[in-house]
Amino acid sequence: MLRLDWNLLFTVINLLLLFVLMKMFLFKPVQKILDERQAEADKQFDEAKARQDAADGMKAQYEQSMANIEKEREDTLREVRRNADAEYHRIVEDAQDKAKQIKDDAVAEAENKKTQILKKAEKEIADMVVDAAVKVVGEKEGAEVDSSLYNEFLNKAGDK
Amino acid sequence: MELYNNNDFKFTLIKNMGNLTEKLMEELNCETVFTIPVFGGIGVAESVVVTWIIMAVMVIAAIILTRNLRVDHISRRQAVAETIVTKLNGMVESMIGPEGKRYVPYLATVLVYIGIANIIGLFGFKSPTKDLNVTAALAIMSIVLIEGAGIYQHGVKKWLHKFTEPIAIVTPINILEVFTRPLSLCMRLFGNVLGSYVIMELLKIIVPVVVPAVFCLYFDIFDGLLQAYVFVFLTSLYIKEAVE
Amino acid sequence: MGTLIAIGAGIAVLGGLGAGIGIGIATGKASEAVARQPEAEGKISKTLILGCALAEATAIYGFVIALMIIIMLK
Repeated sequence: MLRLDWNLLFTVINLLLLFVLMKMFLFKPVQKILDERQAEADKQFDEAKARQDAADGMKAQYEQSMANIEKEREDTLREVRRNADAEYHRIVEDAQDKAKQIKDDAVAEAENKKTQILKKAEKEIADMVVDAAVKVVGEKEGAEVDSSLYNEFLNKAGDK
Repeated sequence: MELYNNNDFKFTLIKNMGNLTEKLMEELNCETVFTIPVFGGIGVAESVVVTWIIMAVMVIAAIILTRNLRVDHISRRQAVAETIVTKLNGMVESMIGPEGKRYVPYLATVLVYIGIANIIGLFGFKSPTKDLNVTAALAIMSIVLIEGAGIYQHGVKKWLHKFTEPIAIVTPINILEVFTRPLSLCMRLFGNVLGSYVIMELLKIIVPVVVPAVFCLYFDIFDGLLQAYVFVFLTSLYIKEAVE
Repeated sequence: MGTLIAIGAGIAVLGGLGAGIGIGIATGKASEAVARQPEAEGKISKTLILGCALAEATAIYGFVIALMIIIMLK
């Protein structure tokens, strides 16, 4: 019981041997398995994360392209609206020009016509005056025509 | 008549006590099982032989438990092995902290060994821990491990410097600690096992039925496992202190 | 001679006194702690058992010394 001898050394050797054997047969294999399982779980986790990241990337891309499309649409719309505006203005201006021309034409024609009518009226009046004068002269003296008076009148009327 | 009877009782008790002393001495003496015929004969004590038996049991159990290990779809055997390893590692790691992860397998082995050695008396063997050689060997290995961990962690110079901390005047006490620590570890384990053994034997002589069974639960099983835990706990505490 | 050995062993075992007092104080404090914080009972009892095992060592040392006295001086 209370003695220290060679058996101490034997026990030390025994314990070291036991430690090595236990490490070899119990701790190492089990730890290896646990590590492998951990690695597998990590791998799966990483894969899932990668997949998630990829999905996120695609979503971002999609959103980006959506935003682009929206912008393009907006741009196109603005362009179209601007074009339409310009067209509208052009058309309106055209119309106005045309209307003005028509009006001017109309005014010019009216003037023309007026002049013609006036000329015609003058001529008629002159004829009427001649007739009237002939009538008057005829009633008073018949063939006795004061030719000087008559010419004078004619001249006057011709000047007009 | 009365007197005679009384004397008779006394006589039997004393005779029993004499027997007890003899029996105790016989039980306490670690017998030499066989002698190696070199250097004039080296006696191999019973404790060493029982240690071999424990080693055989542990290694065979380990081999059986860790056969056909797989990563998934594990068998029940593997589940048991994994549980044992995880629990043991967790237990020792909670004592030693993350810095001393390197020493966990050794401490776990020692924990299991002392635990089995303390309760193997129930199976008719003589506990190896009842032999001072075994506990001394355990304590010496512990102190070697503690100081080795300190040297490994800090290098020889800083390890030597640590003896003068916190002030130079405590250096002798620190050096003395190198010897008192294994001594107290050794004696605590040895004394506990021996003490509980002696108490159990006395109890068995005084009250042979029922009561020893109850006390056996405490002294043999609980105290045995607790002492294994305490031994490993103190060792890991010292290692933790050494590697800090 | 035998009487002296017995007396010596008895004195050595007196070391158990300290262990008794120590474990008593520890247990008292532990029950106070459990009363104050019942949820920490597991930790407290673990610490208590450990502390008791350490305090008990004193008594064990006394016992071992007593045994040594008896066996060696006989």
